[in-house]
Amino acid sequence: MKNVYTPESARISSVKIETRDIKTFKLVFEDENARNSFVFAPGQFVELSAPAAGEATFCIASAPSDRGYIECSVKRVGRVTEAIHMLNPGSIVGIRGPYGNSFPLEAIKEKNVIFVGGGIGLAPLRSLIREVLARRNDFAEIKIIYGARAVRDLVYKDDLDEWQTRDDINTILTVDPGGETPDWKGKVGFVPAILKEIAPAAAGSVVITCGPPIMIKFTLAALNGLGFQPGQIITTLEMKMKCGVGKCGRCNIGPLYVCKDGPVFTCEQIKNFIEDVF
Amino acid sequence: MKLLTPLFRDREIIGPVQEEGRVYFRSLESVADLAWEFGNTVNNIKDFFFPPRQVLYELTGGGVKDAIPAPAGRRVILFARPCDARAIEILDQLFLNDFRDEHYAAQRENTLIIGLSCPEPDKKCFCVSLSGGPFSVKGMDASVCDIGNDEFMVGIETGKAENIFTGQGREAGSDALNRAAEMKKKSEEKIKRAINIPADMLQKFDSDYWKAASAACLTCGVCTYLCPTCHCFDIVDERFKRVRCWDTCSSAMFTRLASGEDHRREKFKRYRQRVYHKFNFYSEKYHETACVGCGRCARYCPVKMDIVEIVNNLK
Amino acid sequence: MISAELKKTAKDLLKDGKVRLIIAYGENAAGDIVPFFVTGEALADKMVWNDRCYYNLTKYLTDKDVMAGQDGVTGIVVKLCDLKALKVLISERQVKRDRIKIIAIVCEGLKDESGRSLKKCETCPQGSPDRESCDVIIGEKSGRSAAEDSYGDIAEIDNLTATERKVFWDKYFEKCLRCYACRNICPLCYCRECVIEQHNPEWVSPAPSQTANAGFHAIRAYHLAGRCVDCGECERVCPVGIPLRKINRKMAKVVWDNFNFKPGEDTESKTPIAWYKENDPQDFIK
Repeated sequence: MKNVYTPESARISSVKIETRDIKTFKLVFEDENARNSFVFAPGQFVELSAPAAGEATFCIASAPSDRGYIECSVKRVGRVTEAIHMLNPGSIVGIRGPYGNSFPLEAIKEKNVIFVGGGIGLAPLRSLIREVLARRNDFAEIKIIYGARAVRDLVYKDDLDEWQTRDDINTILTVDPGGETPDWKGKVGFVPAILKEIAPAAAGSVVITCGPPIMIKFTLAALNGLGFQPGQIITTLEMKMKCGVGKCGRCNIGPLYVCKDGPVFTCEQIKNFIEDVF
Repeated sequence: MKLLTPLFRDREIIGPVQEEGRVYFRSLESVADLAWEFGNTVNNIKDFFFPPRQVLYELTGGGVKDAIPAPAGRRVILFARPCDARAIEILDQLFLNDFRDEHYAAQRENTLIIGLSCPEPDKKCFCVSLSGGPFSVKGMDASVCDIGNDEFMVGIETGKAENIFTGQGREAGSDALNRAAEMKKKSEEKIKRAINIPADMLQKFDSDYWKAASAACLTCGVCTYLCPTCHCFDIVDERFKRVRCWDTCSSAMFTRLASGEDHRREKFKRYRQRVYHKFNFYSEKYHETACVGCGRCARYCPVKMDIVEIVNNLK
Repeated sequence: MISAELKKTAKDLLKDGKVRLIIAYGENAAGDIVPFFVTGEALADKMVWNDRCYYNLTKYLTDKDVMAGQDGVTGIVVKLCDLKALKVLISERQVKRDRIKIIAIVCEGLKDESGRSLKKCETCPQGSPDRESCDVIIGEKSGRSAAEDSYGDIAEIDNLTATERKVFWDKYFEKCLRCYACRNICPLCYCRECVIEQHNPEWVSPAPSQTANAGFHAIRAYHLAGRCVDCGECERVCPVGIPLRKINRKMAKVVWDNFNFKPGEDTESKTPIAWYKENDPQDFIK
């Protein structure tokens, strides 16, 4: 009889400072069975507990092919994230999961895949990007359009560097106007604006997007203008969650629970409730 | 009285009691504490499967200590009205399927629900229009109906209740059955209100109607906490205890993220969400409307928002 | 007839478009009196006035959803008790006097569902709101005389021993569901983010328990000290019958006894808890 609310314990094996308020934590389950039975797919999330502070939802930013550990990127915004930020390698956290659905890897095979990310929204996308790049030949053209407020707010700088050096994918980085540094070589402009500039062809393409609600709102508008159908656009929704298992009601949108039926959705699935989401 | 006394042996009994002019479901010390004359209680029986505050687990020096209730004995909930009994079946869909909630399940297995028919529904009741009724036995393990003359019609509805009244009473004759049927008819006729869930409710989601309809709402939690089918909850840490507690989607904080983002900042969005969740979304997922027509929300709302009026007038 | 004059007043105000919303009382299909938002002359006909107009409608003047887009003048129907709350709101700069039209009704006292007079009405000190504070007064000054408020209910509790008092209150705080009906109906609880819902840091657990609930009620009592005008709505709407007026009245009595201050008499004075005077009593500082 399993208590669905009880976490497994995991040790922080390393902490990487991404930006002034984002850290990436590498987590390893304490218990070997837990470690081996934790099988996830890109897009899924976990509920991380900082002991005595609380629990919050974080997508898994590493890929299944990154064996032996999972990575979660945490932006410091409140009580729980602050408590997690104060933890060092060696500290114990609680993990419940993996929960939620995952990106439809099979469905996007042989298509042009366009990733559109903003800020820490790159975290769930990174899991998929790493997995996709591990099987590069299953997909047609790959574009990554990623932006943040300023250069210092870009996350996964190591991955970004790596992706930019690859010639089998097209990586376009941007920062908001005013966020550039003198030696910035990327673009300057809001992500949806850069997307319009790049103007990817809708035929045979899928877009996978994640970022702040305002960015998604304008991205969807831009994609609409480029002829993309709602079914071609996949997003992963951020929502306040508590139980993670579809019971507490917090993440309920229409008949869907973001924690169970999502967080990955096509715009077709949520089009009736776009008003209620963004 | 005599009928019920044997039940109290070895069992925790929960039933309606009078407390300063209002009637609540509480754990009883003896049959004498039972309130017999009451319309419906303030709280309802969901409190005993999904309590307002429940410890989920505790972190101790030795690790995680699960706090799944291991009830020592058996429980009987006495005199749940048909609306309240029915509501538990609706909650079962959420709590027992998919990621089974063991806290809920433990209490559910351990509890017998004995219902009491409702000969005097009040003017806020509307159970009939939601496939319920004042003499319905849905959700009950046994049903009791006061048919006058100091006689009670008892129905054994599920196997769980098979032996609880053994040795008492006799098989109901046609006279008793007729009296019960007569009372049922009279009672059903008393219920004049009916909720009419529009077939095109989903299409009206974006209607301007919601702003005006929700204007008076205070976004407190009375309707949610007294509702037999509402079940949203929060999870908080109290030092090293992880606790779950009731919450309401009406609350301004319900969907607010630590970053300040909130997709339901406006009151009308939260009000709309509650109505749709109960009358549309839940049924799409679990094939049950999350409302039993008990009328508590309309009775206790501080500003008398009327869910029947709100849904019936939707345009 | 108050109802007729009320409707006429409303229509006159709405006519020239300067007043776009009047917060008043209405009646729903089930026959209950409800808060009613009059946004046009047609709706004005549905305004009601009777002895079940319980709500302190001034609450809605700080409801950002109700007041969204109301950049003109808003009409508000008040009884004497509501007017006192409105004066506190004005003194706290939550409502601008020149942005509201105060329609005061001479209330003869409210009655509950079974026809009994509400307790608070028995000691209502005046029959009619003062002319200077209002824009319109509807109704004749009643000949009704009210009993002096002796705060006997407070003395009763003060006379209990500490243990007896704890038993008394524990019983009620055990019942509290943390529905916040009391807080949300109170016109003077207008904080955008209530301290009780703060997570970082968390002062009181959101989960209901006797101690946490007592914490909530104590905090609310302190935050209302010298501000609560005893409109009594909190107690009336509590679904589990907690005698909340006793708590707020106790605080009111302490403020009166120590600072000679009663809230809601004018639109300038503020609660002694929020500011100081140089001759404030200090004898409790030992």
